[in-house]
Amino acid sequence: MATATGPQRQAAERQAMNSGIQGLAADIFKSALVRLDRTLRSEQLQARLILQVHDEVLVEAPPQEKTAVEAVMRDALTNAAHLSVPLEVTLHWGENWAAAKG
Amino acid sequence: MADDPDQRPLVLLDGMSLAFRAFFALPTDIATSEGLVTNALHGFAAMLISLVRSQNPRALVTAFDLSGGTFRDAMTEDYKGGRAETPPEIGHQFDLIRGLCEVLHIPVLGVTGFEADDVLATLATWGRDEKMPVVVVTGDRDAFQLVEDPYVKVLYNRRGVSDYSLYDESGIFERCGIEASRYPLLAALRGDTSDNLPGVPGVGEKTAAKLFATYHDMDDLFAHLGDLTPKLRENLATYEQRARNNEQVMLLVRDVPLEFTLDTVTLGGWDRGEVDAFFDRFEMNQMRTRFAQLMKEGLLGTGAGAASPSKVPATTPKAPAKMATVVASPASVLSSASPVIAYRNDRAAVLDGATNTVALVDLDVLIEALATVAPCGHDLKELYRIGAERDRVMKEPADDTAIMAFLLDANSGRYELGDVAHRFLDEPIVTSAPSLFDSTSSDDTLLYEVALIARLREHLRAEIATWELGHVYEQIELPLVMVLGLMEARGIAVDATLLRTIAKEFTEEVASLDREIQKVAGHDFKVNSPQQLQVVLFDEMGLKAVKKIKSGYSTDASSLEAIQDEHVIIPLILRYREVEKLRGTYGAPLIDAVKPDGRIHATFHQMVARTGRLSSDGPNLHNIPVRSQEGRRLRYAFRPSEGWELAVSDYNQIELRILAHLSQDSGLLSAFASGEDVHRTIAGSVFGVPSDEITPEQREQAKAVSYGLAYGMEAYGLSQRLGVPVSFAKEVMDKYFTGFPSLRSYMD
Repeated sequence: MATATGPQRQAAERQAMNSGIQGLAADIFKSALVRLDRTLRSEQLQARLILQVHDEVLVEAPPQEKTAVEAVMRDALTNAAHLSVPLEVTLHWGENWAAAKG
Repeated sequence: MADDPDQRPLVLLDGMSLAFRAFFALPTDIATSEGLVTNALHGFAAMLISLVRSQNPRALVTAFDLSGGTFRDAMTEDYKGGRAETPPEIGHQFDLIRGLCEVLHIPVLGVTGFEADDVLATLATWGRDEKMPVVVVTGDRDAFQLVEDPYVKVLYNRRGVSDYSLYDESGIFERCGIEASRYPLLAALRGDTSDNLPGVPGVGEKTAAKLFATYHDMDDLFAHLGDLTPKLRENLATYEQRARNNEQVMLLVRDVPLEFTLDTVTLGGWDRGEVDAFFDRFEMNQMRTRFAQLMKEGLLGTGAGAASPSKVPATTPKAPAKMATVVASPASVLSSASPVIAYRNDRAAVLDGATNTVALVDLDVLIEALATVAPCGHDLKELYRIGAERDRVMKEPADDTAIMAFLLDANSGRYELGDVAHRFLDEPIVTSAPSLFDSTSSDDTLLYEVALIARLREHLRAEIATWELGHVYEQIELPLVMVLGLMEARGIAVDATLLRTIAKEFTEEVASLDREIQKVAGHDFKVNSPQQLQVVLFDEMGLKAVKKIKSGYSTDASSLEAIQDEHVIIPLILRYREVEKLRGTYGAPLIDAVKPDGRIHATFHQMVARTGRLSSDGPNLHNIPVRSQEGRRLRYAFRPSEGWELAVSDYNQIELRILAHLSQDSGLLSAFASGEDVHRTIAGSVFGVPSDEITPEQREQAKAVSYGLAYGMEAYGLSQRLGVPVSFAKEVMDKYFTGFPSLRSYMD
């Protein structure tokens, strides 16, 4: 009936996993999504976050917002975490997912 | 569930039947250090806790059979004779269970000559006459006859300690096909193996229910035997006496003489010291803690004695003691700082923890209120999706108990409210229908759930703090709940025409490959049948099989890849399977996923992957091939809204940068700081040449090692990836580690 160690062990594992490469990468992505969506909303842009798959983030925007949206996206992604090395992003526009993938 | 004490049920326990269920549910190696088996005691105690928490009883009463015969012995030849020998490890535990009830001041009744069932029937009848809600808890179906709306329900233990169904009249009818009050009729024809009462041969529960849907009682049935099929008629005629006798045996006695009244029975009156001593004596520390908590919360009434010097760990969950008061006007509750909410369909319960008041409102009203207040709930993503679908703007969540549970226990994989409450609060699991809540109103369910979420919130918040998960919870996972809900509602526009064209191409290519493969084989066969494929490849064509399996030789992907240069048919088969898989995953299913708004609304999962990565389904967009031609073709169909444009952004070398950060290797850090082609810079260090003299091959090798390290790849994996011997891969890795010494100590 010794279940007390279960959740404790799992929480410890979660901490360990969180500090690993994949866990940190996942946290950076999620943090980026939160920052990005918040900023698009608070700046009252029509543009919206619509998809996150693997390492990619997809935003759709009306043409007049492109410059503003690009700045928001770059800022949200590169400042999602502060590491000892800078985070760099690639960003492309297109009329579909394949074209914008570059 | 209101605070009015008259609404709380009198809970009647069938001690013997529950003791047996507990005994068979738990292993007999649950014992004291002296070897006294206590599994049934443990199980019974656990049942008590869940009953008290789920039923909030006004009082509990337990009935036990006494030794010696009952009036029923005289009525049948071998009543209960067929019961398996009572296991030796259970007998003494009946006394332990009685002892537990006694220290908790739960009355234990037993009357010579009657069964516990009869005692329960008598008490239930008294309760009904007093217009008092009664719940009879038992693993014995005989009690079904006691169910009577609106007062008497049966909480039937189906098996184990936590699998219950709560039945009211409609519940019994649904289960048995007969009214509760006429249940003995059905049982009499069917018989009851647990009581060693044979029924009428050829008549099961369904037939019996059908018969008594037509005929009122035994007399009516036997008066109309002529209307029945010959076989049925013959069996019934032969066993008429048995059926009539069974009915009498199964009818519970509702007027057992009892020296007991319901007026005085309440919870409480225990002595805390005695309760603690009882659990100490049987070395049941956890139960001691859990009962201490029940007493503290007032769920067992009041009693004497403060906590004895505590063995109780400091982590005992702190939960609010009382059910909240339901208020008619929701305004104050809806505007409270961060209300706890639960909802189902279009109805919601909203709890203000500060005043302990709760309101029941339409979901729309709740969603509107969330424009200004931040909710606490369980798995709120769907609510944000619904809100967005209704064009409502809502505040970010204040707490999500499902997300907290996931962070604390990423392995369990189950985060439904019932599972989480069971895991963290020891609540009974309510999973399978018909469930505890089937026959209570949905409002009652919501009130129960909202109270549960409030307790979970407090408990899990403390755990999150203890494990220092506050940052990842508050900054990342919690606000992400809303973002994912919004993303689901938004969806992504697709070109359905293009998707249909692609699906058609997949289908055509599969058909053409199919034809070609059969042509090469020289005869017709089913390419997607592993058995037939084995025969063609290994028997007829004489190709060399690489892996033996139970049913011959393997034709799985790795086995075929190993021989793909041996014969032209192998690459054709591999391609056939690849396209067939694409067709099955992204042909028709992707088209079916397009909603009337012309968009695909995938569902995103935050609580699935242990690595913390997001996943999606309906459709799973994460499985669209990243590199292949087909993957690219599919992505052409995903578009921005009409007249808009699509931005796609991703990180450059994110794993490698994280590796540099975590290892703090000075060489790696400066490779990134230089701002030049990082793979070239790394290759320069690895191979000890100026970076402008690095060959494309060397750059590729260094790059492969970099990514291999980020994913935990070893020399073998690297050799496969680069198509080089393992020894060479090992050499490159060694050079890599020599170039970046801090990396090695980090990886170790």
